[in-house]
Amino acid sequence: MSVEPLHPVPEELFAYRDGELPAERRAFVETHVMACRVCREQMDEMSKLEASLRAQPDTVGDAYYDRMQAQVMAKIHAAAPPSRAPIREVPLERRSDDREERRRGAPKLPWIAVGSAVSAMAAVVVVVVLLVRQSSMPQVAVLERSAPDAGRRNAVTDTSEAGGQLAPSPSEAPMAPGADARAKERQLAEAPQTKQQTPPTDQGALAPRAEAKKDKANEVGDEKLASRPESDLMAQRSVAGLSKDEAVQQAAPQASMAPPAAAAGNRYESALSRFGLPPLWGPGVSDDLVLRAEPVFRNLYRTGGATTPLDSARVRLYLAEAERLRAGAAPDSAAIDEIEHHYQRAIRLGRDDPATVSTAAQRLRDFLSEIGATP
Amino acid sequence: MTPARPDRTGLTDEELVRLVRGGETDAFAEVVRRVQRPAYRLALRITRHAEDADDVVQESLVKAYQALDRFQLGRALSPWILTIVARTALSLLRQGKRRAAMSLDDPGPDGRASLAERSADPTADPVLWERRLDVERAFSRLSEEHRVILALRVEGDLSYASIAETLDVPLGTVMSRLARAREALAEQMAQTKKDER
Repeated sequence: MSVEPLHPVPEELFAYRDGELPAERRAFVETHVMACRVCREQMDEMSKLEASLRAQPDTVGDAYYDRMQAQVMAKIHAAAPPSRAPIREVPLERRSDDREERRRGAPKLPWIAVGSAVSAMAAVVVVVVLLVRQSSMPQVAVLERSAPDAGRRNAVTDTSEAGGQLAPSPSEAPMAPGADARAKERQLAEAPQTKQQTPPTDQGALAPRAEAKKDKANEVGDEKLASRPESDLMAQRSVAGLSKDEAVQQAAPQASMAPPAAAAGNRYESALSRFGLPPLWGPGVSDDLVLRAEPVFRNLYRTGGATTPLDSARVRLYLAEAERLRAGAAPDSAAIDEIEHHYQRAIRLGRDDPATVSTAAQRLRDFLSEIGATP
Repeated sequence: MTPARPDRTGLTDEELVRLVRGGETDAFAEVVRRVQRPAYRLALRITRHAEDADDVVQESLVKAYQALDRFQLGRALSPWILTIVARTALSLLRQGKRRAAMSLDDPGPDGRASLAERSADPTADPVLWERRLDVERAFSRLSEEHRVILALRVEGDLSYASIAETLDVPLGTVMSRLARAREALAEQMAQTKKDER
């Protein structure tokens, strides 16, 4: 007697589709979705509904936005200029704490500043000594030379360091929470790197604030489309290929859970080298590779991991190609919208790179021609 | 004669932020230009009124300018600003100061055609615009709680963690509420189709 497989709860199913499911649950949901047409259809239907919402035409035009821009700038000019702190590349908490310290009247208690300086110097000395000792250890040297993913390890290191470089909540502009809360959140932000075993629950820990800041590329003004379900791709995979792909798939949510500093690195290049892809999509690139790399590119797209406009453009190009492959010969209207949108953005974002622009423009023309639309 | 404003469209968000922090206030105009459209769409989805949305966006952008020192370079600027927009819009809802919600048939704030008319552009794919209108109707029938969380995710493209922070709820609540909202949207769509028959 066969046992009916349990469907994942909708929370997990949608979180999986959104790339927000913790790694330890992702494998279960992914395995289920691969085998369950009902769940795949549910995810696909939701993607289409959300794509339709995003595709709603604006109720205002360019003139309206021009006027709004002028009004905002007039208000800014009319208001007293904020006292701008000099640009310092230091953790926000520290800046905030510095201000807190000044408010508390540091001059009244100069020994605090002296003590802090001495402590900081002592910490630096300890760190330097440790580093020197570690560098002399042979196994570390071997790792440094042989690890193929040294860049990733560096990223993790950067990430954990970035736990202390959390951007403040925008809402802190009007109402700043206490430094204690920020310190707690900093600890939580570091947590996913070392233990991603705790699925989020209503009683679960607060979200790491760091993650709150990394969910969108610097492509502002962009009508973003949802992360598309991977159902079609997954259905195509053979069971034999699962273990290899799982590693790829699981890399995406882990990256998405990582604090944002990881996004500040060259994650696009890292993704390319992981899959052996060229910087710019071309006709010779394997379809299978494009499909396998898609979750990682989609994650870059959502998290702002592609930090330059050109990288963003190229990520868009790969996403358009992946979507075309998944949509097949008869894409539905939502897929057409998405593919065209990605190409258009690739053209715009890559405007300084003729190769990117011409590739994206040509692919867009080909696509429109394939579906019988007028370019 | 006023000097021509330098073209900053080629600068990255980070370069713009640096300029503004360095005292070039006018550079913020480019930030506004880049972010105002998604900001307005998000505010409109939350407030459901064009003038409220306009107020929210303007207030939020001024707040963002004033708080720009606290934005950490290297992060994406747009979600940071959109979170300010969302919180400002939610604050308006909670204060009960908002105007009556607009319908799909109300004209746009600049006198343009209503969303229904614009969606019904005869040159557009009729199946496509009909579906878009259905989805919009289904969305407008959702509860405020569901509309807000869907707006944050779908229009604002915010992460679960950002949404949790914006709504001041645990991450698990975001997951469950978002799932309920999506199910409700699908149910409303099914109902819309049933009504059309």
